[in-house]
Formats: sequence, structure tokens, C-alpha cells
Amino acid sequence: MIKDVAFGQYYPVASFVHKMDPRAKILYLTAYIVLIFIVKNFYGFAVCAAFLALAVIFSRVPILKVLRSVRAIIFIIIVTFLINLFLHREDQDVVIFNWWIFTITYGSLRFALFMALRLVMLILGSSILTLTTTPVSLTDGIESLMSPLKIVRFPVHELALVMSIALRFIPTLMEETERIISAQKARGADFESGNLVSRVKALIPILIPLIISAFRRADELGDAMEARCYTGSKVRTKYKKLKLGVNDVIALFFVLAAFAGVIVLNVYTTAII
Amino acid sequence: MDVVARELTYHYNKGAKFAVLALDDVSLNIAEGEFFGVIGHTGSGKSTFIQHLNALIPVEKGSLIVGSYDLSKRDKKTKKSLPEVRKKVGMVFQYPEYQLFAETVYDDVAFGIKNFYKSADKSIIDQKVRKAIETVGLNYDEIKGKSPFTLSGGQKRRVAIAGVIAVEPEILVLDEPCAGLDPQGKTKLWKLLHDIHKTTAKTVIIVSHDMNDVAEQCSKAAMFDNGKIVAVGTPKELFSNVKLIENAGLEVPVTCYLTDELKELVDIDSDFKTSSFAKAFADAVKNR
Repeated sequence: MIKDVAFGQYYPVASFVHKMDPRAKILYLTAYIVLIFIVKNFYGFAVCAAFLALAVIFSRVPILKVLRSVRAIIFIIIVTFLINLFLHREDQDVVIFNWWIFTITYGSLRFALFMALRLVMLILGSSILTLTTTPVSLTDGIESLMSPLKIVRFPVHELALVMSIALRFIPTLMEETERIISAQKARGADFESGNLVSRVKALIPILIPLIISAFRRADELGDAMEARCYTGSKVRTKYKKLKLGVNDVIALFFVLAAFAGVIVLNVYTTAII
Repeated sequence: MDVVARELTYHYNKGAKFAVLALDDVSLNIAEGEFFGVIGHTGSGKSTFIQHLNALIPVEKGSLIVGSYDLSKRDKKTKKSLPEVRKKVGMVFQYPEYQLFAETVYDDVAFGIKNFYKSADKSIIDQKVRKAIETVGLNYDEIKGKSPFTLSGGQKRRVAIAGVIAVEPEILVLDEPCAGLDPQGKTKLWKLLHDIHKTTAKTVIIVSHDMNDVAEQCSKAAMFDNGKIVAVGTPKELFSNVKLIENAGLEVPVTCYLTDELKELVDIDSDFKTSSFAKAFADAVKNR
């Protein structure tokens, strides 16, 4: 049951996007996010959607797998949509629906849809990054991108290490959680019935062993690292060096094209829609 | 309570691209009163199989009957009987000391009792906790107020086992109960398990990949390989076929190799327990 949670959802196939440099992917994703936020109308979103569609096609990840990521934030999307739908007001607006304190106008409907779409596009874009990049190369990329901060003595390498350790231990801890849940279920623990208080209380027999085991693992890992004379960043070299390739350049053209498209549409389309 | 499994099949991540066949057409009978060994190398399906026995894993295909409970049914009545099944089939997981959570040893051992005997009053719980702690060879008055996290590894494991046998299951299932224990702790634990087998739990099922243990301790065993059962029988029957065991990625007991090597010199007929092997060997030498 816990295994269903999509995290570290790397989808292992060989593709154009998979082969790209993680740094390029992170940068392009950042550009894409900027794009999503400067879009002024639905035509612009069409350009973003086209870019997204290309990315999905070239990543060879099944479209359903990508769409599944929306499920994680569906609640946020619905809440934002409803709040915008009922609260957003524009000048010279046409009321479509009015009941008690609830009013929907043409403008608010448009705006709510717009914002919801923005969120969906945001999560879809990010999920392509996590679906095509292993957590390890993702942290490698982040470390490399943040390396200029070393000048101001920001502990970039240590931060990256913390991140990769955290990512590395998520599946381990999930497995552990599952085992503890089974063990307590076997002793008659009931997580599914009762009121809220008793349900929260039922979590104690899971959380305490889990926290204790996390501490134990941390201790063991610390010892193991010390035993291997791990000292941190300064003289460490990398086994896998990141290298920009042809794919990254080709992808850059697509990003630039999308940017150009959105800006042109922003400037030359007067229609609000 | 007998266990009757017929054509039991189970996949992990069913439906996904990465589905793993963990049990493949497993049929097995475990009669009441056995001290049963479930053997196989890592990933052979033995742990998956035993988790079916108290419905921690639902039956995907095939049938599984434990005592009077048909666990392959999905109706409401079966669902309602799940707590009963879990009460009668006690399960001790690998490294059970990692499931300890309560502030005191008493509370931890009482956890299962309170869950399964909802209406039991304090004196009955007290009595059951005391009995369980004493069964696992610990001093109740000395240990009941201690935090389980201050105990030694061996003591923790005993407390965790006490937490399961306190419920007085009819079938006790243990996954690698001796993993990580020193030889002395191992010997003590085996003795303890045989004691429990004689007193409270009618059937004991042990998962192990140490064939010496299985030869010494079990009355019968089933060998898993790749999700299938490749052999069932008494240790003597199983270990007579060295090839079969080695093909399943396991090592046979040392006594098997010895018997094999000595075959041409003397004829030794033993059930591969060290003691009976030694006796048979001595007899054979004497008669020669």
C-alpha cells in the first residue's frame, strides 16, 4: 500500500531526455517554470503544452505515468480553482451564476481555469524531470549548479550529500515502515477503525520503532563513513563526470523556441482568452 | 489447526511493469503439532508464504485454509474473522526487537493482549503478561518496569517474542528467529521454542536458511525455490538428496557431507542431527 506512493519515481528507459545532462534538465525546467508564469493567455499555454508534449514523447515515459503526478496535488488544484471561481472579480464582468453568496462571473471562471491550468502544467513539467533523472544524478546536477556558492563558503557538497542520503533512505524507510506495520498488525493493531484520536494513537507503535531505527541507521552510516575516512568536499573527485552533449543543445533550441512563441503571443494577442 | 494451501500464487506490484512473481502454484499441508521448517534462499518466496498464514497478505489466486478459516474468501464474514485469525496465528518477524515501541516491557508485551482480548480486565492481562515473560526466560518482576530500549539485544528479542506468545496463538510462525544471535543465545532460543511448542502453541513454523538448524530442530520442512515448493518431507528425507538442496541455492547440513564422504567406508544411517550422526558413526565404526 505504501509502495503506491509515487516518489523517486524514476522510470528506467533509454531515451533522448534520459540521456540529457541533469544540469541542463534542471535549467530548462526552471526556464519552463518561468515561462508558465509569464504566459498571459491560453494561446501561450498551447505553446507550453506543445513543448511539454514533445518532452513527454522524447522521454518515452507513458503519458499516464506523467499524468499520475497531478493526482498528488489534485486537492490543491481543486481548492485553488474553487477559491478563484468564487472570489476573483474583474471590472465590467458578466455574471453567469449567482446564488446566495456564491457568484461566478465570466472573468472569474476564466481566471480560475487559467490558474488551475498553470498548476497542472507546473507539476507535469517537474514530473518529467523526476521521471527521467535518477535521484543520484539529480543531486549531482544540483551540486554542480550550486558550486559557484562555494566562493562564499556555502557547504554545497555537504548539502548535496545530505540530499542524496535522504533520497537514498526513503525506500529503505518505506520498507521498514511496511514491515513494522505488518508486525503490529500481526499483534492485533487496528489502523482502520475508530475515531480520529484513536487512529492517531494507533500510529505510535509504528512511529516510535521507525524513528528509533532511523537513528540507528544514521549512527551506522556515520560510523561506516568515518571508517572509510570520509572527510567531505575538498579533495573528492567524481566517478561520473557531468558532460553537456548534443541532446542538451538540441533541447535548448526547443526551450528558446517555446520562449519566443510565448513572448510573441503575449505581445501580439489582444484577446484575453 | 491445520494449514492447507492449494495452488497459492502471488505477485508483488501486480499489474505494474515491474511485477514480481513471489509465489508460484504453492500447495502445502502443515499438520497440527509439527515443528515445521520453511527453507529457501533469500527471495525464494518463503516470507511471502508465511505472511499469507495470518492474512497480512491477501490471497491473490488459489486457496488457503487455516484451521476453520478460509482465507481465500473475500466476503464480509472472512474480513470480520481476521482479528481472530491473527490471534490464533502468531507471527514473529525477522529482527522482532525492531517492533518494540512501548515505554515499559510490560506495556509492550500487553499490546497484543489488549488488542485481541478487548474486554480482559487488568488481573487477567497481568497474569498473561507474567506468563509470557516467564516463558521466554526473563524475570517478570525485574524487567516489567524497564524500558525495552535499555535491554540487551537477546533480551529485546525475547521480549518481542513474549509480546506474540502472550496472545497464546495456536500456530506460532517465526521468520529467521535466530538471525544475529550468538551461539549461546541461539541454543537458548531453540530450547525456548521447543518449550513453547510443548506448552502453548500446538504448531510452530520456522523460516530459516540455516540447514543445520532445520536438521537439528524441525520435524518436517518444505523447501522453496523461485516461488515454488521443490521438496517437502522430514529433514532426513530432504537432506538425503544433496543435489536438490544445492540446486535451490542452499547448503546442506555438515552431517550430509560427512555421510556422503564416508559412504564408501562405512554405512551410516542418521537423520543428520549432529548427535544422532555421531552415534551412528560410532556404531558403524564399532561394528566394522
